[in-house]
Amino acid sequence: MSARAATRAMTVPTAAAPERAPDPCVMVIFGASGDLTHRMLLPALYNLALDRRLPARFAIVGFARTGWTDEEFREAAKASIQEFSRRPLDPDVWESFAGSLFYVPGEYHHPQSHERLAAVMDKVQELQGTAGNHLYYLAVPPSTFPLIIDQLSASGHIGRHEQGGAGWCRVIVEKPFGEDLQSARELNQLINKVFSEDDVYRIDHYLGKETVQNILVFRFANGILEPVWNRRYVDHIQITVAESIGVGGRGSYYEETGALRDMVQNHMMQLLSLVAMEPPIAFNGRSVRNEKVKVLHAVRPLPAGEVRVATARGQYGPGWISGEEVPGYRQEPGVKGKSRTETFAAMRLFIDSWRWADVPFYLRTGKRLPKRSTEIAVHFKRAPHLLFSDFVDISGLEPNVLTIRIQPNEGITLKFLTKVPGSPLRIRPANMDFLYGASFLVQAPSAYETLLLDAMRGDATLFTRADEVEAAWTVMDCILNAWASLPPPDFPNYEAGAWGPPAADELIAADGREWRRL
Amino acid sequence: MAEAVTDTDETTLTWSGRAVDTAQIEAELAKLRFQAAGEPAGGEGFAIRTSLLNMVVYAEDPESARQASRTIGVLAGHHPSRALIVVARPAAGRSRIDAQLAAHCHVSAGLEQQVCCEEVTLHISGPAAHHLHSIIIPLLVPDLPVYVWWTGRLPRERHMFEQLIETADKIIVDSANFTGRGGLQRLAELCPDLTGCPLGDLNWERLAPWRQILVQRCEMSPAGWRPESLAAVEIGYARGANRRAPGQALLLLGWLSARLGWDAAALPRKGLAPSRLIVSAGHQRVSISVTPEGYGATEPGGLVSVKLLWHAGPGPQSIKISRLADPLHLSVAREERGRVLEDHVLAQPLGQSEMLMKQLDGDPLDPEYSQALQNALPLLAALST
Repeated sequence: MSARAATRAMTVPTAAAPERAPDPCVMVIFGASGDLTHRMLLPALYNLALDRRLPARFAIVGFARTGWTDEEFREAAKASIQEFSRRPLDPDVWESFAGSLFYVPGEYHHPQSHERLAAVMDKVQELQGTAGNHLYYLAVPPSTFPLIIDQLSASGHIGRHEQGGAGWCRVIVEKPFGEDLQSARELNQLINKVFSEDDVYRIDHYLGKETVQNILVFRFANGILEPVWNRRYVDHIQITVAESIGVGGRGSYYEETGALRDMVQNHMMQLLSLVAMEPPIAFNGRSVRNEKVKVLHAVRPLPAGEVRVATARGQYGPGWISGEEVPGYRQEPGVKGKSRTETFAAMRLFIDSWRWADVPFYLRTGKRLPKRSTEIAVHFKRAPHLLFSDFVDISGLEPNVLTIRIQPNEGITLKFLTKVPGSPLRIRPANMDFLYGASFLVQAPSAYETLLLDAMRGDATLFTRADEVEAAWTVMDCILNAWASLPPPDFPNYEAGAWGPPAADELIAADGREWRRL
Repeated sequence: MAEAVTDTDETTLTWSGRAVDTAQIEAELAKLRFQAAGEPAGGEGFAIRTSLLNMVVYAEDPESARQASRTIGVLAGHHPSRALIVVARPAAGRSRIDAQLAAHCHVSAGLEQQVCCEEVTLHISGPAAHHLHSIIIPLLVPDLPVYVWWTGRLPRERHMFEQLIETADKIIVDSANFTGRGGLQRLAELCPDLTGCPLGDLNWERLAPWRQILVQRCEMSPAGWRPESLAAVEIGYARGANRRAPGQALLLLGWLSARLGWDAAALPRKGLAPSRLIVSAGHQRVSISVTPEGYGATEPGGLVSVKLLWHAGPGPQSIKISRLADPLHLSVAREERGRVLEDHVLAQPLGQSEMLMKQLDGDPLDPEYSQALQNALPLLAALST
């Protein structure tokens, strides 16, 4: 063994804390015949089964309008897992997994349907010994939430444990969490009428990504970063969520949402809060979420007069991406011919805190951009004095940038200046990439695997709390209201395959900066 | 399916696919990195990768692409990078991308850590070839300089070249490959603001020893360049069978013009041979001749000799630099006070990878080259008429 390998072996912990096993439970999926269930949930649950991470006593009851039997649900599930699972189907594991799948066809608003569901759940509980623990997953459009919540309340399953009954009841809610502050509050009130906030798991799948979780580890497990993670050393931060795809078959949904509601309010504000938060006192749901919500409360809402200069919106026209000609947004199915929905949003935000005062946070997201890329780039200030002005043009020397890449090619990159080997003195930037995938030769679990397991364990650290959602909407509402009052932009204003409209470049150029070249 | 070829200190992992898209290429590159981390040449994976630049190479045909690949392979140790070699066939009917990927990993002597370079060769057919930037941008390593090396002749259509200029921090050409005298002119048209255009030329690197000798011999002499009494410049270049332009001669003339303050607009050349012209330098006139010569191993269009002649006065009457049969040296003959002193100067020709390396190491903007090119254009126009 080399000395290096020996050192490495010595650093491997010999007694890691054992992973807490999730409680036995029945998971009820509303919307069990839908896209989300078949693309994400069932493959994630199957992979958990493959890793033997599901509770020993566990069952899934699907509920949807489609008139399937248990057997037909199992067949559909098998097909979905074969198509979407990150690992191939193992016949032995599948056989055991399929035995835990049940299905109830029904209407979301029919009490009789819910009675049948309750009867099946009771039967399954008896069969599997799930100890009265219920995990509900609302994989349905938000308009269906009230129907389901009302029926759950009436069924008597929820609140049973609070009245001394056995087991727990938790609910997982998919985004969108409202379409503005008002509707988000109403939704929270509706859910909290039946479920206590501690039992509500608002899922933002971004938070389940390994690299997003790694932001916390990277920031708070490495002593060298905290001293420079503030306004004294950081010039600005850029957060980008770029997609090369268009709206595809989601045209009618997207018409009602747009980039700000679809991406910024949830995913990007979550990334912002993780990168800007203060160190929590402990790594648990309450402490981490307390710090995140403080950041969101500290984001300075944009006054109406400032929205024009601090934000930019765009909509893509036809163009070329990856060698393919693609239609404009207005030519997509389900989209109005004169749609004013934004497919691109950019903004400059400030966080009014001691740590971040006067440090701009630039956010941009869009569809049909040249490439898919999600990242957080921390741009540090220039060295205060450069010695090399006699040898090189120091005006072109770039400052250090630390980039956390969320997807694809998850990892961390540090950009620094280095001397070109040989003489005379020449300086050029170099990127040192830490490649997450190539460093740990194991496939990371999918975001849904992580989050479903956490919900079963009762760990809400990676889920969004009601006050976080409302704080994020407070920031977005200012922009949405101002946009509604401004003259409509001249859409489409960027070509598919471009990095957004010129206004986005002007926004950041006005501060003497530019967007990162991705 | 990826394949690995392992040497004692080098691993090359490869993958190829037909009718692929950029997402698939990116995914396969990630797999190669993953695989390289598991199959290192020297015991350590390249979980940490250092990258300095993106190199985009435009090749006219598969053979040029292979040649470019060999050149880039030599650079790998000095310039860890991602290279995209593009062969475009716009005339094909249907858009299609075929890709070959290679991760070359070298273990530096005395180090356990690998240095890896990724090479992507793209054969792009059909209408997609008119939108190269839409394929190239998704494959670039973010936030690193982009160097575009345009091998071969300049395109007749500006569109393709302009698209690549938009993505590039520096465009590198080799004007030795231009046919006809219009090549340099077209290059200038593609880059209208020459002084602000980050343009590099491998042919300029070939001229480096000639320029250095002239600077040394003239500036070390107490009499210096004596621009006010320069009478003539005679340049001989190797005649080529395929109408290679005298690119080196023109660039050298442009450089001399900028250095000696010639009026870039040539004087009327009534009665002069096609290879001659007269330029004004203050109150003086300088006679210039650019003549083709047959000369052994010199590459077509390459310089064979350069002679500067002065009117009588202090300092030399002439300096002549000539190629020798020995390709490693140049002859420098200095005539002064009726005596000719000749010596041989080491001027080892640079290989393509060395010239490219110099271009990559230099600043993107090379004002000396831009000025030389700008000043060469009116001289070129005068010689062409």
